[in-house]
Amino acid sequence: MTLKNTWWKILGAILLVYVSIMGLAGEVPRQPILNETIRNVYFHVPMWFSMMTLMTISVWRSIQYLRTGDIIRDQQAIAFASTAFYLGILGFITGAIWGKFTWGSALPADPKLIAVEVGLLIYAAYFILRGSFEDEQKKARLSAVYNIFAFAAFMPLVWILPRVTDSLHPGNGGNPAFGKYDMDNQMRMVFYPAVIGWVLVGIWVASLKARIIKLEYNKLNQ
Amino acid sequence: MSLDLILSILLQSDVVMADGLRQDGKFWVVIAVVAVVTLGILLYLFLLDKRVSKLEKQ
Repeated sequence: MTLKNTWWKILGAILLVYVSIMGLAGEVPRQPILNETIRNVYFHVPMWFSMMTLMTISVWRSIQYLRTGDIIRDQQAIAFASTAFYLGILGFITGAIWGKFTWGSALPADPKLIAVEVGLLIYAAYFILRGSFEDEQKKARLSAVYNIFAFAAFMPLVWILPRVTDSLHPGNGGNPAFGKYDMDNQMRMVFYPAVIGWVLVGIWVASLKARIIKLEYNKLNQ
Repeated sequence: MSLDLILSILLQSDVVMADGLRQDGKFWVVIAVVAVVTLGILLYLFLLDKRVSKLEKQ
């Protein structure tokens, strides 16, 4: 590990420590119903941002695999998709806890929730699909194609569909996300670092997973 | 001042927040603990990274 390729890991770590302190100690606007739970914006929302970034990298790696046939690209695609899935589950659980105390229900019939449930199931099928092949090349090729379809289904499901109808989530049902009434500048000073920090640490964990998959693969094929 | 602004100020003064907590409730102790745990997990991630790098060199 040289400083040249670890600086972003250090940056991500520093940002998350900053967020863990300022997310609790910083001033937040007084909002009825939300009260102090508005701080969950720093901890719940970045899960989704990090997940989306990792999914985008994953699909990009799958495209690269299909173009080059380089098995390392396939290993990175699965590592990033599975880390993204894990962050999605964390986002889902944290959202359920938050919703329980503000919306009055952990799992309301909200379009965004349903879209994410469907989307995560599409990704779950990706992992099952990979597990059902014996041949390494066939597994990599078919799952790369499926990954592109999963990504193409997931993004409109989560971003567009809840905006077409009405959702409990802010920024859906026609309103711009996190408008001036939800977050002030002081909150943005914590929220943006939180998003960048979780994206960086997410990439870090996923790349670590990809390296371990590669090591395992090399050991099996010695 | 617009009516909207006056209304929102009036309404927001009633919102319950954990005001006293940060002043005299030793809340900083909790923040310190959370910071240490976060730092600890990230440090562990660094050590794992180093170990994987070592394996890759073999």
